[in-house]
Amino acid sequence: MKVKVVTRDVGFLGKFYLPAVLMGLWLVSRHFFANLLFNKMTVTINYPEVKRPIAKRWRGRHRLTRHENGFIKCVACFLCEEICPANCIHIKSAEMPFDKSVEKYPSVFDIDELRCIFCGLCVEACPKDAIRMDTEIVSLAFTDRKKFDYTRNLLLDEAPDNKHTKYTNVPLPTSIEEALPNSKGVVADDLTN
Amino acid sequence: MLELLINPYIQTILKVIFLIFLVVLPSAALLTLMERKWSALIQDRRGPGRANIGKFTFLGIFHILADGMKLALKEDFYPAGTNRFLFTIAPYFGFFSAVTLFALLPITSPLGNFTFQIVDVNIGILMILAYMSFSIYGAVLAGWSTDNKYGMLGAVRASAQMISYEVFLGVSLLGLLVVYNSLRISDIVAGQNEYWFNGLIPKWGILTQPIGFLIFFTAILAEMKRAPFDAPEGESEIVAGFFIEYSGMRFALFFLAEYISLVGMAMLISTLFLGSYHFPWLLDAGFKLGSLPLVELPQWLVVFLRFITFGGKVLFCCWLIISIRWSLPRFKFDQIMKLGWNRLMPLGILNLIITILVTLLF
Ligand code: SF4
Ligand code: SF4
Repeated sequence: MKVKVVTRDVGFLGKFYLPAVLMGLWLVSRHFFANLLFNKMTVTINYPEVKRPIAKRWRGRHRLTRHENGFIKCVACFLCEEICPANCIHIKSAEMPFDKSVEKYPSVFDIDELRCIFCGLCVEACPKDAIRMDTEIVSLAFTDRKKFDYTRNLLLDEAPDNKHTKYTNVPLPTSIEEALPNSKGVVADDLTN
Repeated sequence: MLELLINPYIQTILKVIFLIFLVVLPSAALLTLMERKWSALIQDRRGPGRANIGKFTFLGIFHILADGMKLALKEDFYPAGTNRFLFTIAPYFGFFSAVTLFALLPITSPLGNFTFQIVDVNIGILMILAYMSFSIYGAVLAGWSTDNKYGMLGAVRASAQMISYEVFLGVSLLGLLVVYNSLRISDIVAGQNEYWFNGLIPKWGILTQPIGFLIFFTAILAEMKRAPFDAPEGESEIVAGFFIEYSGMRFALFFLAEYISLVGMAMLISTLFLGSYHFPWLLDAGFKLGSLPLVELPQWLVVFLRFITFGGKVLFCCWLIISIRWSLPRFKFDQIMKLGWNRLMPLGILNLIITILVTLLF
């Protein structure tokens, strides 16, 4: 076997590791005193109190978007549920009885954030730009598993925090206010029938 | 009542209690935190600072309490196959050898008849060497009794390292003994307050024995099993070495002993080589630099200044030892041996010969 012998000439003092030790001490004490006296180089962020700025493209918790008139954008096409590799989106579609401008709307839209791997494929898949991950909510931490199931209205940021229910089949709405809170959608003609 | 206080035995007992509970344990406990804080500063971190009582964290000082509580509440565990007797007594060896060191070192100059030193034996240095080598029993017994191969490896490494480094620990001190011509600690301390060139440069150990100081310092690091000579407990190779199976308060004893001996060794280095409690040009009567006139100071002030000086020196030595830990990688075991026997040992003997020749000729 061919062996290449590399000789390192460290000099007489180098054999006692002295120059290296002194250089190391110099570096270490520079950092020590700079940090002790001026707190200059510390890079630690005190996390829960101070949060580091996150990039615009950071994939945080999902949210469902609305039209300008406050209407939910999602048309319950199931593309996101289909593509989700973690199988964590659960949609139930319902016909929109009052509003002719939409065919379907999601009566149930649950995302189990505990199973979600934050891959962002649902966002890519959506044809309506109805689901986004730009809430900048980085850490989801609860003491209860159920709280990770985000329902439709939670994703719309409407329901209070304690209303976590999974797979609740929201019954068909009986009035437009009930169907879509704050809806200003086009009211169907046959509503009066 | 006063007669009781003058009684030397009572005085000694009081000194021991004072030293253990007000100097040794607090400083060691503080150092466990200081090491974490200082290493954080060195590595541009913040270090521990979350433990709190109410709103107060005081730079993380409650972590000492939190750690102590956690260790005290842990299960007292004997792994299967342990030699219970040896396992139980092993931690006390290191603790004993670390604490006894304090009995021999003065913290400041005597005030009247009252000395700030527990015992001043005429073979002080020999006694220190003897107590220091006692700590190896703890390591070997701990590693041996746990019936764990990592513990065993750690114990073997510790003993091999100790045997080789103890030799030139002694050799490096011989030069010092030749210079100050005594084994008694108080004589060495007094010798360091003499001056060259008509009272200009103090005869500190580091100036009379610079090479001896370097060798002694290296040997002390190896003796304490601290980085870069921490092969006996090298975390990345043998997990924790000889105390791998220890948990709870037994582990705390090892841990505390390490920091007590860190303080002890820092005191030893300052006593033998950094002029002990002497501040340069501060004589018993007051300041005197060269042939300038004496600035008189009362005795209690001198004693107090010397106490502060000694504290500062000890703090500096602790800082140096800790900084070295965070600046150097661990030596390989063959490198430790080579550095010891091939380089430091001949250098130590050369240093001794030169010292003897110089003392004889001048
Ligand atoms: S981010 Fe990925 S895993 Fe999470 S819901 Fe969307 S598609 Fe599923
Ligand atoms: S969020 Fe988008 S992809 Fe998913 S069901 Fe609604 S419209 Fe379809």
